[in-house]
Amino acid sequence: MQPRELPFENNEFYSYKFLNGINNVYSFITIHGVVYEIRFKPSGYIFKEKPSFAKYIFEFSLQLIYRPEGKIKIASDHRIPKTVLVIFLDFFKRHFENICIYICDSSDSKQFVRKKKFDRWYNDYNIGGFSKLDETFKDRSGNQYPVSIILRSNNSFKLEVFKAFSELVKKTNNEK
Amino acid sequence: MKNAEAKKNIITYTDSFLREWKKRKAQEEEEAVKAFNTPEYQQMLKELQKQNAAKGIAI
Repeated sequence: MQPRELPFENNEFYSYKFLNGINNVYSFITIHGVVYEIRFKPSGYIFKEKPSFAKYIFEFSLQLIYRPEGKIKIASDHRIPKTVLVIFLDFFKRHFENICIYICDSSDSKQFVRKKKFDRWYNDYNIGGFSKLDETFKDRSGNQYPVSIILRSNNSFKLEVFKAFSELVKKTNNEK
Repeated sequence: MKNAEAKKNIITYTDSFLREWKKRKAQEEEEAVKAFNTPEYQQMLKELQKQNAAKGIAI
């Protein structure tokens, strides 16, 4: 199944720039002057024992780069999730087999807030054609890291990726 | 004995994975701040603001 057309107009998402580089950086600036970067970092090291698809693994991250002084309601900017979707689709157009992994940062203990927001965006703007698998990593200290993998539903490595991902998480969490 | 070795390997793998992830994340944040402060990056942001305005996105 192929993704459908974007369900919104051209002026409902911000213009962006693909900065290229090894980490596939995209940048955009909001109406309030807030600057974000989206990265798709090559992350084959996560599945280093699976060379067949390791080269297609990219870690997705959304980073706030600059925020002007004063009160800015970032959460209410509906163009941000739409811009994220447009960039996401652009990245998947660059190579059909690309696989994104999203690891929620737990350094400020807000990992589940991030997870909730990410899932909401995924569900609200799901235009079809993609599959997602959610798991949670635990480190030795018991910190939890929600992790999601997204790929095209007809990615030829789909079953292999999901199996390897589930095995990695299962082994990890069982052995703590 | 074999089980103990396997367990050790898994823990090492996971810890090294998370350690690697944290290291990369910190490095990425540092590089992003450096890039943001360059004239080229600021010029690129101005271009993006112009493109937004052309689409009817303006304050």
